[in-house]
Amino acid sequence: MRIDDIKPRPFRVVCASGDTSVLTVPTDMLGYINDLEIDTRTLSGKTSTVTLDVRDTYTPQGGSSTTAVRKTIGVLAGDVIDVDLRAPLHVIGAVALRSSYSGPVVSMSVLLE
Amino acid sequence: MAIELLAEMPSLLKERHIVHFGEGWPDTFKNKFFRVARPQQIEYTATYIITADDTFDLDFDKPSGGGVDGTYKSLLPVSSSTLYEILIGFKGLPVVYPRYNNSYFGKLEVANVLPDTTDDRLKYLGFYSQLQSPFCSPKLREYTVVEQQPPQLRLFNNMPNDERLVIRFVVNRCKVEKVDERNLNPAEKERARELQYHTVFTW
Repeated sequence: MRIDDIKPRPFRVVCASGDTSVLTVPTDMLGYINDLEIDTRTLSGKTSTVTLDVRDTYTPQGGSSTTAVRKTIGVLAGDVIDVDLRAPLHVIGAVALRSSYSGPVVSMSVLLE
Repeated sequence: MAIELLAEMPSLLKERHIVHFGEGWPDTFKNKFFRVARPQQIEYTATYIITADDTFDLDFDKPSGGGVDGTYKSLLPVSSSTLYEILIGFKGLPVVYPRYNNSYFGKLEVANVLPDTTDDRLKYLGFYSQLQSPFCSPKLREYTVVEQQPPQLRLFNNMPNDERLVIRFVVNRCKVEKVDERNLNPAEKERARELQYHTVFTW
């Protein structure tokens, strides 16, 4: 097996009950969010909009801390939704996943390479 | 040495290999043959986050206080009996322009046909990226000795978002011994690896 054949391992970030979960990308790696899933089945009987923020926080070379909002997604409660990212989201710092609404379980898969 | 792009990941210098330094190198090395006595391979990775549409310059020299900092990577040897053979690979979207003495190395002969990160017609001239020299199989090679003009790299992020560039330096630190040319047979001279200083590419 060649080193090029080794596939990056996905890291799962789970965010529940309106919380924020953070995954820090190691400094010698690049991160790619390749899957976002929102499970709102725990909100039985309710219908609501959940705003999902994916933030990439990092410090540029010679600069101060920066936060870049990369994705905001609105969803309806009561279902499991796979968010189509079309292309993996590129992450260079600490990726923070935050759900604006208490209840839904939100998870994402991050590839580090 | 002038930075060079190779078709494949090159093999590193090994014990007993002979190198010849051409014109332009510091006097200790210029026009002389050296034999590799002891090679040692050292991995060295540097990471940069470059803001959108911006550049960052790094230098192979050492910072004034020693060690390393963001700009100065200390990739020149200290001993006059050491040769660094350095492979350079990239991971990330920014591109890299080699420079010497604060001038771009990859330029064509007509006046002003040289890299310009502010000009769409010239920003993709004389650069390298992860496509040419990937992190896992670097194909860019540079040689350095003590007291030479330090190579420089200008990193350019042409993307709308800030981007990270991870640079892998594979440093083959070689202890070298001077060899009297008269003690080399023609075959050894023929096989010696020719190291060309960047100034010979200015003509």
